[in-house]
Amino acid sequence: MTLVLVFSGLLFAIGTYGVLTRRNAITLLISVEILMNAANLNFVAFSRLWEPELMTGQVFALVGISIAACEAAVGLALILAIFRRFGTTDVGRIDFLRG
Amino acid sequence: MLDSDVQIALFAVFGGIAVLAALAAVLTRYLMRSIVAFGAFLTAIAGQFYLLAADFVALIQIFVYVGGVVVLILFALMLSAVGQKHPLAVSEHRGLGAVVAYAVGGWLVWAAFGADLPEAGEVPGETVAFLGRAFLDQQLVAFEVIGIILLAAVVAALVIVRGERL
Repeated sequence: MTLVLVFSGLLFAIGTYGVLTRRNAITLLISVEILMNAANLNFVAFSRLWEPELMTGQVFALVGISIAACEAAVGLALILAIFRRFGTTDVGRIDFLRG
Repeated sequence: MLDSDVQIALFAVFGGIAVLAALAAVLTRYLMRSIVAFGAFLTAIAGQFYLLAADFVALIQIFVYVGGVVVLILFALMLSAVGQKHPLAVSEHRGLGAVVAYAVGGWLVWAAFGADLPEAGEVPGETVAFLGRAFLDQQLVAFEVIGIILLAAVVAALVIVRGERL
């Protein structure tokens, strides 16, 4: 069990680094997906520790996967719209609302 | 948790692949390599799900993520055509990001070693039947909410992409 938690912690840290340092919107999205996968790994692992016959953790992981797919669809649509408007997907250069 | 030494070794191998692929996806400056590494990462995570007695979740991970989200990201890359030839810009706050990520990872790993966990229980052999019953019985609200969110996401994506022509 500790092995699972260590791996998911490492993946979460890698995703955090990606979210904080990347500037391309698509790589930002990939980093967020890495974070969600680390969380899903924990859900599935803990599903076996508490009431494994109910499988609440696995249900939660499936919900998380669906939410991640929705988020990817809307996020990529936004990225395409932003690309058409600004000609870039670099989040540092989209400063339309800067005062 | 993992029943035999072989399973633990396999889990560690999948975990190593996942960590390396995630590092490659986050660190490379070419978008295409990042997406390919992301696909490898998702497949390794599916292998870990399978070893944790979640075969249906592993299958869905392959279907939805490797078959859906990665292809979606590839289409977005093709339609926006940025960063294929030139390396991408990275933030100037890389040092700060590394410090925060190191702190988060260190804290999580420390918590993992310090956690007082109960023994792992037995999982039903056929997870599909149990998950189906769970989704239509105790977890019905979650099932319905997923449906509404998927519908809203599809409509929102269409509206956003159509833009001014609507």
